[in-house]
Amino acid sequence: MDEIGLKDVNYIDIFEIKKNLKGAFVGKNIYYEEKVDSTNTLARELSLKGVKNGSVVISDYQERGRGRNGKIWTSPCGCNIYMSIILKPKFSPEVAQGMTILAAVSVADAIAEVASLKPQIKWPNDILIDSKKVSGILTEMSTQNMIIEHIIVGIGINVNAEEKDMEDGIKNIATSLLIESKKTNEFAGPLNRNKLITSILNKFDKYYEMFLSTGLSSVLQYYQKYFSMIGKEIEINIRDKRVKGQVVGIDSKGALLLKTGENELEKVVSGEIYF
Amino acid sequence: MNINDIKDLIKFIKSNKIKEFYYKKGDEEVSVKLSHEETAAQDLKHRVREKKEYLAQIESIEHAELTELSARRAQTLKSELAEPASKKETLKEIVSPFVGSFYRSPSPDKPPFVEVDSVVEKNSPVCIVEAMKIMNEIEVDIKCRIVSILVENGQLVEYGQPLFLVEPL
Repeated sequence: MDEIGLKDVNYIDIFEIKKNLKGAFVGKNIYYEEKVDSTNTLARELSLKGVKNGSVVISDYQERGRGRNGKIWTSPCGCNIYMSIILKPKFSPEVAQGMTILAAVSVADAIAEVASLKPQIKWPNDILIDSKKVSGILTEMSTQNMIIEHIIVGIGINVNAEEKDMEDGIKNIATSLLIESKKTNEFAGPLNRNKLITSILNKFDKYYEMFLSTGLSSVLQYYQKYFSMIGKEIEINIRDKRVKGQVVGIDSKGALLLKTGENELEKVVSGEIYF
Repeated sequence: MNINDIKDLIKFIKSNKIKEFYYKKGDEEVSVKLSHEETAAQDLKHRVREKKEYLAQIESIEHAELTELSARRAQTLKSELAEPASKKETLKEIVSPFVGSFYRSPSPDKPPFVEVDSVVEKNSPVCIVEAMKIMNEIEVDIKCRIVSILVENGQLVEYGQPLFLVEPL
């Protein structure tokens, strides 16, 4: 994809995004940088400088995009989405775990709406299409004395990346919206990232309001639409131990419920899943 | 009255607790005056006094020993514990805000945020507790020194579980 093509159809336009926002507070302030270390790092710096609750950081390139446990999220082509939402809530850190669920269902909704694809959620917040990862969410929170300073919800989506843009090591486990769109329509062109970003922010705002007014259980009903793991036999690393079990559901706080024996149910809040 | 008669007589007097006995027949005259009870009483009083003195002495020694022991123990405790005790009162716990995995470093390939004896500036992170893929950096709200790290890297921690003991600086 050449630069002219990319600029013509697909540059990030903050005004376009803001014009179509419907929500009360998410995205009212958007900070765009063409190239950053990582949007989460910039968002953290801005948060410490006092930017408002609901501010958003967007970038075309991340030089040090981070995944969980320091894994690198490659950000190669200037054709994907890298953004972070800054939250400064008054609820407790324990409740904040719901942000993972909110972010996942917002991204899944937006992909279904804008790209007309069928996303699935791998617990708690990886977005897959046809079993390959298309989006990763890294939520970072700072607390002092059990009080939240800020929450940074970092969202990375492979939107218009093509196979050549991906590193060899991840081609068999990762995909992009464009690659998946072309599977059903060989003439599919690049997706409009502005529409996708707008949709994510609108969805997040909607689910955040729902979360504050009625709690996580309401949001989980929407999450369940994309949750494709029920009945699957999985292995999960919990601490140094690998536990096998069958996924039986999600509890009211978003924890994974795993049947590990005849009458044994494990509630998982942390761990790396292997199918 | 021969000597045996006199012995029998004394035995009789003693057994019947007779204090004084006087016998006179012709030129025979026997006078027995028993003072053994008084002597015994005096002896008893003396022994009681001795015993009391002995007990008092023991008590005095014991008291002295106990006093010395107490003083020594107090001194020892004071020297050994006085400083930590005063510090202990000011030590502060940093606790986990939720159930999750405790990590000492920002990522597996990075060094730990802190070690024992590290001096940590206000607003600096000391660890991460992760749950539901939320990486919660726990920061200190005061400048402090890490006194002890109470959990292992990768350990699952409970809500409110102490993770560090710190000394405010």
